[in-house]
Amino acid sequence: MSLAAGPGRGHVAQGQLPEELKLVVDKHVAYIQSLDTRRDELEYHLTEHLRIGGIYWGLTALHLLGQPDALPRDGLVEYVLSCLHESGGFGAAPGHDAHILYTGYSVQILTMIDGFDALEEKMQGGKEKIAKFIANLQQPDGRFAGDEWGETDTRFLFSALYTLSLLGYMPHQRPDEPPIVDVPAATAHIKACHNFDGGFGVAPGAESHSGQVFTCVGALTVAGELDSYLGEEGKDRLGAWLSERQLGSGGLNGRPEKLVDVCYSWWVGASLAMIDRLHWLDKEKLTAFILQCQDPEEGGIADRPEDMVDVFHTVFGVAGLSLVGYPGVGEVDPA
Amino acid sequence: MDLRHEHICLDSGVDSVGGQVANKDFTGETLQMTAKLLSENPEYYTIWNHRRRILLHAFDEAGGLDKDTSKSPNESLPSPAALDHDDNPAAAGDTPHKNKPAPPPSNTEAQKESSLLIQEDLAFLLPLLKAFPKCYWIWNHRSWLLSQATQRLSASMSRTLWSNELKLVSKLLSIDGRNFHGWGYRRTIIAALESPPRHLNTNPASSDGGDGALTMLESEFAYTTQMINTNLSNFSAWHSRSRLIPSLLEQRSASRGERVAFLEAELGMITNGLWTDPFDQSLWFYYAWLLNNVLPSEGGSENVSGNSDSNNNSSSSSSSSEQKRRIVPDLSVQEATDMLSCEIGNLKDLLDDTRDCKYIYVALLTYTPHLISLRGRRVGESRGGLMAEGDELTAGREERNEDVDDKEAMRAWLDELMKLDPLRRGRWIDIRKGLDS
Repeated sequence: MSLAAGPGRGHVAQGQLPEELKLVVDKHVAYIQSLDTRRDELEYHLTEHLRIGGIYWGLTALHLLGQPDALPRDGLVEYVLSCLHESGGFGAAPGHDAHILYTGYSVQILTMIDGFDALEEKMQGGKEKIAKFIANLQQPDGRFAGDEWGETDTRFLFSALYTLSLLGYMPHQRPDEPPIVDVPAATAHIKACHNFDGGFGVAPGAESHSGQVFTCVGALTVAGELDSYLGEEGKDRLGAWLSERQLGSGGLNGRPEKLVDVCYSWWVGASLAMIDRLHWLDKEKLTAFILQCQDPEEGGIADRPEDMVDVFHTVFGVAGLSLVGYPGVGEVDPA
Repeated sequence: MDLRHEHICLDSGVDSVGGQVANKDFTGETLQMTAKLLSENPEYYTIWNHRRRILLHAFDEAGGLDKDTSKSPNESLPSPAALDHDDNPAAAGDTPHKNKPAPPPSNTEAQKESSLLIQEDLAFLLPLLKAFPKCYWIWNHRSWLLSQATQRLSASMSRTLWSNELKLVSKLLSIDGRNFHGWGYRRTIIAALESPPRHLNTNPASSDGGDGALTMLESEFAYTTQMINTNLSNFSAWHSRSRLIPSLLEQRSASRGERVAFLEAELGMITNGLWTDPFDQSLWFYYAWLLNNVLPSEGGSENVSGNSDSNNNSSSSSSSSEQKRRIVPDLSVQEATDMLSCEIGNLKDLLDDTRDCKYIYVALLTYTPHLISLRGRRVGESRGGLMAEGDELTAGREERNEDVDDKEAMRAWLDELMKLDPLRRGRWIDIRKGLDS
C-alpha cells in the first residue's frame, strides 16, 4: 500500500457544474486497489513507516464505499500479523518497532477483516498480550507513551482506549477482573488538556487543535464520561469553536487562521457529531468542498482542490461525507 | 542516481542497520548509516529508535548510568533528582528505580564524552529540524537528547544546553509563531530550567517564585508581549499569555487592587486591538478569556466565582482551584456587573463603527445573557433586606424592562448574523430557540 501522493489531483471535471458534483465511488476503489502495485516508486519506500496506517485508511474507505472485499483478505491478514512483535505491539511494517498508533490501526484492521482467530493461531492469548502492551505504556499521571522511548500525546491516549475497547479489555467490559488500565487517571489527563475556548490540546497548556479535540472527545466517549464532563454548556462552547473551523470554501481548518484541509471534515465533523452539534456546520457546502477535492478521473481525494491525492485524505474525505449523510456512503461511528 | 537504484540503497541501508543493531554491533559506521537514512526520511521512527540504541551503548561505553534507568518512559521529562547530585553525593551508589535515576557519577571524563555525543547529535538534528519543523519524531529525539543530558551531565552542563534550546526555539518560533511543536517544546524547556538545584541557577531571566523557587514566569510573560507586539495576530502567543497569567499573579503576590488593575489593563489593551482590527480572530479569543475572568461560574454565593453549592461534576476542591486561577478570585456581583456593562457598551460602540463584523455580534450575543443574569443576582441580593419594599418592586420592574430590551436586541443581532454568517445558521437557530423559550 503506497502512501505516495498522486498521480491524481483534486479538481472539478471540465465543464462540470457544482450541482453536478458526485462521489466517483468506482474510481476511488480502483485507486485504493492500485496503491499496493506501486512498489517501484521511491515514495513507496519512503512511506514504509506508515504502511499499516495506509492499509487501515484504505480498508476503511473501502468499507464506507460499500466494497469491503476489494482488497484480498488473506493478504491483509498475513501482512498485519507480520507486523506483530513478541511484546504484543505492532509496528508500521515488518521489521518496524512496535508503537501504540500502529497497534491501534492493526487491531482496527483485524476487527474489520475478522482476523482474531488468525491472531490466536499465531500468538496464543494474543488479544491479552496486545492489551498488556498497551496498558504498560500508561504513565503515573494517566497519559500514554507511544512506545518505550517515552513521547506522550493525547493521540496515544485515544489509541489506547479505543483499541482496548475493540479488544474487550476496558475495565467496564470486564467488571469482575482487576482493571489493566487506570481510566480515571486517563480521563483526568484529558480534562487537564481542556482549554477555556472549549477545545483540547496535545498536552496540558497546549492550544486547542482539531485533531486533539477529536482524540480527547473520542477518549471521553469511549470512557463513557463525555456527557457528564462537558454538560450542555461545555458542548456549546466546544461546538462554537468547532463550527468556526468552516471557512467560505465550505472546507474546515484545524485551528484559527489556518488553511482548510479535507481531513478535518472528519476530525471536526466527528467531534461535532459526538457532542450532538453537527448541524452547526453547513453540510451542503462541506459536501461540495469534499467533492471538489477528489480526482474524478484517476480517483483519490486530496487535502484541498488542486493538490495531489493520497489515501489518508481519501478515507477522511469519504468519512466526512458519511457523517453528513451523503447517499451511498456507509454509516460511521464517530468515536 | 536514478530513483529505482536509490530505493534499493535505502532498503539495504535499513536492513543493514537493523541487522547490526540486532547483533549489538553499535559502531560509528552504523550511527552514520542512520544519519544518512534519517536525512532522507526523518519519519522513519524505527531508525530513530536504532540511533538511540547506538547512543545509549556509546554512553555506557563512556561510563554512564545503570542501563535500566536510561530509557524508561518517565525520563522524557527531567526530574529534579537528576540535577541534585551536587547536593546528594551519598546517592551515587544507590540502586536506581524508575522515578529516580541514580545521579550521574562524578567521573567528569564520562560526562565530557557524553556531552560531546549529545552535542554532536543536536548538531545533526538542527538542519533536519529547520527543514521539517512539524515532524514529531525530530522534536521527540531532541527532547530525548536533552533528557539524557539532564540525567548524565553535571547540572551546569545540562543547564547550558537547555538555555541554548530556549534560544533555538525562540528563533524557530520567530519563523513560524504558530508551530505548536515549538510552543510545547518551549514549555518543556521552561520546566527544566525552573527545576533545582537553585544555587546553580545563574539564569538572569529567572525571578524569585516566593519560596525560593526560581521561575521564568516574568520572562515568559515578557516573551508573549514581544511576540504580540511583533504580530498582533499571533494566536499561539495569546494562548500562552493566558496560561501564564494566573501563576504570574500568584508569584507577584499581587494584591486585590493590583489584580483588578491588571485585568483592566489587559482589557484596555485588547480593546485597542479590537478597534484597530475587529476581524482578527486571535484578539477575540484573548478577549473571551479575559471576560471569562469576569463571568460567573457555577453556584450562587455573593461572589461571582462561588462554588460551594455547585451541582456540577467537579469536586469542590477543583472548583476552588479554578477560583484561584481567576485574575480576581473574589470579584463581587456588583463589580462584575459594572465591568461587563462597560464591555458591552464598548462592543455596541464598536458595532456602530463596523456593522459587518460577525465577531462583534457573536460577542454581544454571548455576553448579554450573562449581564441579564448578573443583574438578576444583584437585585436578588438587594432583597436581602437592604431595600424598602416599594423600592424593591421598582428595581425589579426596571430590571425586567432592561431584560426585555436586551432580548429584543439579541433577536436583532441574530437576524444580522443569519445574513452575515450563514455557514453557522444551525447554531444561530439554536440560540434563537433558547431565547424564545
